[in-house]
Amino acid sequence: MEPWQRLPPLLLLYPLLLLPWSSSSTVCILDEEGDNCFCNFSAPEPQWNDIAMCISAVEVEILGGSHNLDVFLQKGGVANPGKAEDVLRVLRLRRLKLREAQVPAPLLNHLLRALTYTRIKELTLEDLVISHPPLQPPSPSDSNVGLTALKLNRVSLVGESNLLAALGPWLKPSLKALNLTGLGLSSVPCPDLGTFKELNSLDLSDNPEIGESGLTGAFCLKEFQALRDLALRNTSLESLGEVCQGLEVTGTNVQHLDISYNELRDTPQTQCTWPPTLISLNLSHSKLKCVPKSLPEKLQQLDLSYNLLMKQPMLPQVNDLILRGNPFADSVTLARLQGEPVPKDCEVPSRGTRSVGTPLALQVSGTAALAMLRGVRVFP
Amino acid sequence: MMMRAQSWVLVSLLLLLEVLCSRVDASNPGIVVRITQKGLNYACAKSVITLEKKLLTITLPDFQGDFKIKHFGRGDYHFKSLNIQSVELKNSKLDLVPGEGLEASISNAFIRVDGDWKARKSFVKVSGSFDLQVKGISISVSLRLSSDSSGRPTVTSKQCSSHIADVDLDISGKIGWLLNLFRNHIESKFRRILQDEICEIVKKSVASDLQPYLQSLPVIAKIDNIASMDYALVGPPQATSYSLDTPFKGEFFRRSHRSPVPFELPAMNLPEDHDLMVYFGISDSVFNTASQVYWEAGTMNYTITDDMIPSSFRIRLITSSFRALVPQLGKLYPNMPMELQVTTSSPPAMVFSPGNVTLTPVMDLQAFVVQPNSLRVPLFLLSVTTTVWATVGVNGSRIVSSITPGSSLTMELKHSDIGPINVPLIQAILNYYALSTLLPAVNENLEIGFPLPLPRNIQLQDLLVQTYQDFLLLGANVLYTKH
Repeated sequence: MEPWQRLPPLLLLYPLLLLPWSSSSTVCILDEEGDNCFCNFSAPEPQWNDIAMCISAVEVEILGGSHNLDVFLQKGGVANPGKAEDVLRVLRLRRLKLREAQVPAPLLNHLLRALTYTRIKELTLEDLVISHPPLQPPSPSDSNVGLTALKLNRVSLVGESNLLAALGPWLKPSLKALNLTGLGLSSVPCPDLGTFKELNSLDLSDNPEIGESGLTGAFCLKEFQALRDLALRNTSLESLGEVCQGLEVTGTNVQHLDISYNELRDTPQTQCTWPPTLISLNLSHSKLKCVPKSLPEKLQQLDLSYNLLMKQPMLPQVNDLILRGNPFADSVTLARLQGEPVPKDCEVPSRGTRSVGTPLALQVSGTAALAMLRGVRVFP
Repeated sequence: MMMRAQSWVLVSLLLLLEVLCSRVDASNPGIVVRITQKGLNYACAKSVITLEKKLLTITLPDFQGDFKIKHFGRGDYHFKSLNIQSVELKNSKLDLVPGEGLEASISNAFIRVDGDWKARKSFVKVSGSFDLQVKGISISVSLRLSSDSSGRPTVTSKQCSSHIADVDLDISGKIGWLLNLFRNHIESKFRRILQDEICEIVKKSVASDLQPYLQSLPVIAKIDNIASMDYALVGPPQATSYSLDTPFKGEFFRRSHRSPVPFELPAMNLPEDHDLMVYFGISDSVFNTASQVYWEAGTMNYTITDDMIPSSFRIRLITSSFRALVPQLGKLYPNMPMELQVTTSSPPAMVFSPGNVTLTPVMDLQAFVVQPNSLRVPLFLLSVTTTVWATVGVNGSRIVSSITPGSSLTMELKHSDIGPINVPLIQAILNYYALSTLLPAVNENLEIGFPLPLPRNIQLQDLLVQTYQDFLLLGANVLYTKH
């Protein structure tokens, strides 16, 4: 071929050849619309390059298959950092979820730096072990990741235990939702929440060491004026009354409180006023034998599902009452529990007021169940 | 009468116009070769060596005459086989004569000639050998440089003057002592004839050696099957006080069918550098005529199909390959082969500005899907522009160039038949890969370059490359190697 023709036509195609390719990839699956991409790298020697399949996806979930990602540390820098930033800036990526892997901190550092160029909104890290600490903070020239939601579930930082303190500097103060579940926290991490004043939702579930003391000591909650949702599932809470006190002391204005999966009991002795803003309360899976007496005044939604309620509660003021999975609805369980004495600290509302004003929702539980209850009357 | 006068005026006007139009060929050159005094000095030194060697092979013509001795009578002498045994041409100079050409001069040169002589008086014949030393030879010849109708340079010697300071004749042989009596006479005659002879030799040498050497410059050079380059002179070489400037056309044209160049060449204002021996001023029109030629020949249009991709590649040119970037392609035309047509809408133009070369090719990329019934359905049309900044250099005696990073690619969706396409992402990715992988490959091809108009046996050293407004300046020192 002649000199000028020596530029084979294929050369123009060359960069396209390096683009994400091959729909026959079994590792990463892009949905038909091209918005959601799921990558499963569980194989012993996974095809990491397949992640290119997700390049134009809006939501990406990556299952690391418990691999150790140290291998990526050896790879040198990006060939063209300026151009790489241009690519990052035009990505459609909004939600990223990383699960099950051992991530070296420098790699996480690179990832966070890359994310600062994108328009990502939600980041979820689940079942990760971050090795080779420390996690370096961003350099002064780096901007921050503009997340609205950060979810950390069972993520541990080798050596150092304070993951949030390490991640905090990377995030913009405009964070709205924060989940810190399964991190072994023993209290509400006030010092590290400092910058996130606009927080709407805080989830500290699955941290059994928090307990009521953790909640009571969380004075910083007062500063989060925008905090509406608070979740403390499975945090070793025992007493509704103390939870109420904790909320009173910290002066929060939560609207939705989820304290399910705790072994709760009602202690009516304590005088406590629930926050006036509380309109939704989740007490499911809490081994409650009877409906707590002191409930928030303006409560609109109450979830008492999967407890040990033997009688159908009368709560006319609650619009949305969820009662499934309770013994009174289940004849078999009811028969078993029939012989058991009612706990002393529960009061059963009188039958007179049963049929009048019964919320519509209760009618759904079935007439058969009601017929059962009639037959069972427990007197103190 | 009036009519005839008018028509006469008209005819002469037309004639004048034709003459003027034919002068349009003497337009601005594409390439200017500037030889400085330093270059001339080098050329001079090299020529002198050649000249010396050449002179040693020359046999001067025989030399004869009569002598008359008082009381002895007349006789004649004959000097023959005059071979030049040694030559020393010192103080040689090749000077510029502004507005005229060049002047070559030698001063205080020396030649030693030997040969045989014979003399006859009546019936007495004597012979012997002789040794002639010619000292203090000065020659000055003015060379007029021009161009002929074929566009090649011509050199003619106009004036020649020579002077010999002294001639020493040493005669040996029987009765040589007799001729020694006439030594002065013979010497002065030798001197006169030699003086004239020298100029004759020089003029002949210019005509038979120098002129053919200059004429060895190519006028048309084949570049490849598509293009050739026209190197003809567009005017005579011009001598200024510090350089000799030769204007060449420097135009690329199609071998199959030559069409006139559609644009006027701007004038090149070469800077007054004269540290190096030779400078080449190359107008960007040289590159743009090349671009025009190759564009017209269709070398810048390609159709890329799946079978052009080597079978060892995992990726094929099919719709599913692009699913990550254009998800709807996979949905609308699952697993069908594609075709890409790349066309350049106009020849890419190259612009020289001080320190910079800018190239802005514009390409259209039309993607098709090939349906099972071989029908091509258009998918989308992308327009891709790049602004490429390049450097230009020299490799040996060819001009080569390479593209610098920093050049970027802009893509625009001209038309889509399949809905929205994430052009910003494709553009960003192409830019990322284009520079790290495509560029080196392109540069490899640009390294091939095109040749500079050099006479045979000449190499370039100490190269200098600078871009100016509308042209490129190359400077170099010359090395003449004759094998």
